[in-house]
Amino acid sequence: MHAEPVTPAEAAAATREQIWGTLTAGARSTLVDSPPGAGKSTLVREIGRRAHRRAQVPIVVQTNDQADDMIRGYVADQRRGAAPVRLGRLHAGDYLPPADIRTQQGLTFSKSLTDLHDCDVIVAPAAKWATVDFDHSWPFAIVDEAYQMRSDALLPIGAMMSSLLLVGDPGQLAPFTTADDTRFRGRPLSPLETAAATILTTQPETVRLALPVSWRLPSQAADLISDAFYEVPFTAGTQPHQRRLSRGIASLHRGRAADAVNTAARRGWAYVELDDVPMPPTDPDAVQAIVDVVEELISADIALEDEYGTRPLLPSDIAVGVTHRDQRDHVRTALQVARARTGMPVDEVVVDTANVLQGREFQIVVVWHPLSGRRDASQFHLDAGRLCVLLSRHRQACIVVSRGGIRDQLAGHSPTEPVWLGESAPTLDGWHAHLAVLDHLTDHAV
Amino acid sequence: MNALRTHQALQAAAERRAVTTTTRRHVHLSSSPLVVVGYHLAGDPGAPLALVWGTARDETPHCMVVPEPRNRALRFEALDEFAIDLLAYLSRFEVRDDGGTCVDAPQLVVPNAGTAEWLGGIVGRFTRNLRTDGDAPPPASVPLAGKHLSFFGDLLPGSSLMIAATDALTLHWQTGQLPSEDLNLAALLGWIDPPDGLDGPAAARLGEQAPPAGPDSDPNWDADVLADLIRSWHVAGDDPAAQAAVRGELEGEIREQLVPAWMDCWRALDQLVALPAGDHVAGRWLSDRKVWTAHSARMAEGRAFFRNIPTPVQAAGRLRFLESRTQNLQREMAWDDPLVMAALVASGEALAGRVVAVDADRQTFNANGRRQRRPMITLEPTLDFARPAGTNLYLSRHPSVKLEVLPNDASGLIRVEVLKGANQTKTLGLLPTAGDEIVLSPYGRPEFYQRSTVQEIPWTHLQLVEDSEES
Repeated sequence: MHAEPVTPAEAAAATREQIWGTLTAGARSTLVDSPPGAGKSTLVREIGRRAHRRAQVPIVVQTNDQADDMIRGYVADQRRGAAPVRLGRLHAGDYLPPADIRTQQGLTFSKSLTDLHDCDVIVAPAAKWATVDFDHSWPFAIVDEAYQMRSDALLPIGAMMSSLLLVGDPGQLAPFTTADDTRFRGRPLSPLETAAATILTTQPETVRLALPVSWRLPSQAADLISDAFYEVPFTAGTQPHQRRLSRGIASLHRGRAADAVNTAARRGWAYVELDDVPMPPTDPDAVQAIVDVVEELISADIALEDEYGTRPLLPSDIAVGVTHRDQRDHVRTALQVARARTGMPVDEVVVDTANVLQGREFQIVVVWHPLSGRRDASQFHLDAGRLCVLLSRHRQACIVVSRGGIRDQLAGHSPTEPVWLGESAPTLDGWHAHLAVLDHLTDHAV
Repeated sequence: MNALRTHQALQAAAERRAVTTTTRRHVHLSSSPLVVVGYHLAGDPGAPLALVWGTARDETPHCMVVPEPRNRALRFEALDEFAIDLLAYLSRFEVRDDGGTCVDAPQLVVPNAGTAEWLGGIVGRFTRNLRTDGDAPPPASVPLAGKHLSFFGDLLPGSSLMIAATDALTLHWQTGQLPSEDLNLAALLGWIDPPDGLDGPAAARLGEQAPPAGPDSDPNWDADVLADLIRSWHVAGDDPAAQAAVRGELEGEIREQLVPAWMDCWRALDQLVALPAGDHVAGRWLSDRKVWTAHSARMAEGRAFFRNIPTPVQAAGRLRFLESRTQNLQREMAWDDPLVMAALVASGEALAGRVVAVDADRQTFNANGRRQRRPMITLEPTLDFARPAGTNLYLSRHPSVKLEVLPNDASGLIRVEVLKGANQTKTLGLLPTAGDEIVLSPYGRPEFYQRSTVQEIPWTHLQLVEDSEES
């Protein structure tokens, strides 16, 4: 009999071995559910390293950023002493390799598969895999972010790869289309379903496993995110004392931005609530509040302390998460203006929408609440996945900026979306998730 | 709703008259459309009660009635009348040009999206697979018409083969009432084209008094008129003279209910035809003609099948096609129509301004240290432009010219550099010149990617349905 694993690390390692055991036993499809930062990418890389001894392993990701992050992960593993693998990065014609990995040893960039035939592992987004000649075939491939991948993108993968490990975070944003989707809703195997749901439908014998520990989220966040957004609960892999933010420079002037940063440093959360006024999506006061917080974060000379040691906070450790692309553009512009004014490198902060931030990790995340300033709570803005993505990108702290009145908005909300016959109801109700999160945030208001 | 639309709605409410939201017409209008309006029995879309149709406004439209809509034989007998006319109308569009494409395509005009969905969806679906052999066969024309209707029920964005008048009007006008109120064609026309002496809201109230344009009838009329007539039909029994009398009476009542809506469809077309067609309308109509040609060939060969549930491979292809057509329609409308583009300028996605300077010979160094030509345009924006440096835009006049916004200085001027499309000797002519008023839009020419096609359904999408015993 096995002894019960005691530490989070042992629990995670046991799950990894279980997954590898399933794959070597010849399962055609295996699905691993992973909460935010549960070592999903580490798992993908490790399985890739182990499996290439038998055959070249394609890794299917969803965006170019994710592909580059995957490559960076392999490079970092090798620096820490992992067995080297020959890496291939398959990409589109207009892609430019990022400067930090462009000249990496043992890594080949190419837009054609023929240049990569002696690579052990080939990483490319699903859209690129859809362009290769389907005469190719592989016995085994790994799909990363399978809950973010649309079912139609899995078709070419299925045509070329004969067995799959799918890994993904079920709490993320579901795939969508810009077209009128009425014709596809509620259909069996609709192209709008996730790749994970498709595999579960067509391959009922799929082995489904879950990673039990979030290494990313600090303990103050793991419980909230687990309760509000996940069916299978998970815990934080670190203890509260292992993560710490400390200010090097005390704030010169008191203000909400300074309070927010101080509260976030102490408690891992901060909530900046602006006056309750309905505003267009590009609410200038919210933009200003976010810029203030970012300026405060950078000027405070913050030291990050975690299980790997202590180091200063860099602008690229910070992300601003928004809902709409025009919000992203307004925040980026405001940060560029702030840089021109103060010279602080605030524009090096990553600003993007929840859809783009999915699967990425930062030390501190500033979130523009999806319901901020709205008069209605539409399905799009209520989407539990959107809020979950925004609130689960951080290792240290999360600062939420919003207009007041969200509780009234939720209370006064009447759903107008149609219910589709044949479509399974979402397991998570965005409305309840929003309320749970709001209750939590109110305790950290500044 | 974008900011400009909101403004236009408020303006319409204040001026008590609809406001045009376009300067061009974005639908194709046929010179001989078939205008159809109809009712089904309340609560039963599968039981048509009446249809009124015609191809010329100055002729009395045809009318079919089903004196007992729940009687299947009567239903198909009546639908046969419509089907024969529909097939005759469609057969006028079989003439092919040298390239094998039909020289013109049919156009069905209905009052609202509800009627379009009813005819193309439900009526098409329950008639297209009827068998014409067996005990009580429907007339052969009915399943044929059902297939055609199903074709019209499954069109792509930007298609003009079937026009729902309320949709076409709200694409070109903004009223001061709620979007749900715009679904009433008579009320909508009241806002757009009020009769002399009335303003928009008053004319809309008058329109709301008119009998509904279908496919649902007025419940009071159902109770007061229809119920009695159906009762009379049953009383008439097998007496042909009594039956004919009831039919005549019902047809009279139906004409009173539906002919106003049929006339309103023509009024809607009058409003639309007054606008000059956008440049890309002809291109979209050409693709409509091709779609029609393909459908008519499939009909001729007896291959016009309509799957209720597409295979995963078909659904994926269809979705991708729908996505690209949706996107193309948006772009083309914005390129064709300054008022549509203005909505993008107002929302800050596009940038309008006057060209201050053009440096066509500017050169920069690329990542590999090589010189490259990157002409720069400096412009004075009409509205504040709050997009960050690095945003990609395209000349709206020449969407092949791709630009990138450069970091701005304090001058308030916006500088953009040409990434492609106007950085070679032969394309430099596409650059604007100082003094030009230009618009930089987010819409470039659609890019095509080489994709391999999945032929067979792969294992990931193959659902094995086990034979289960009836329980």
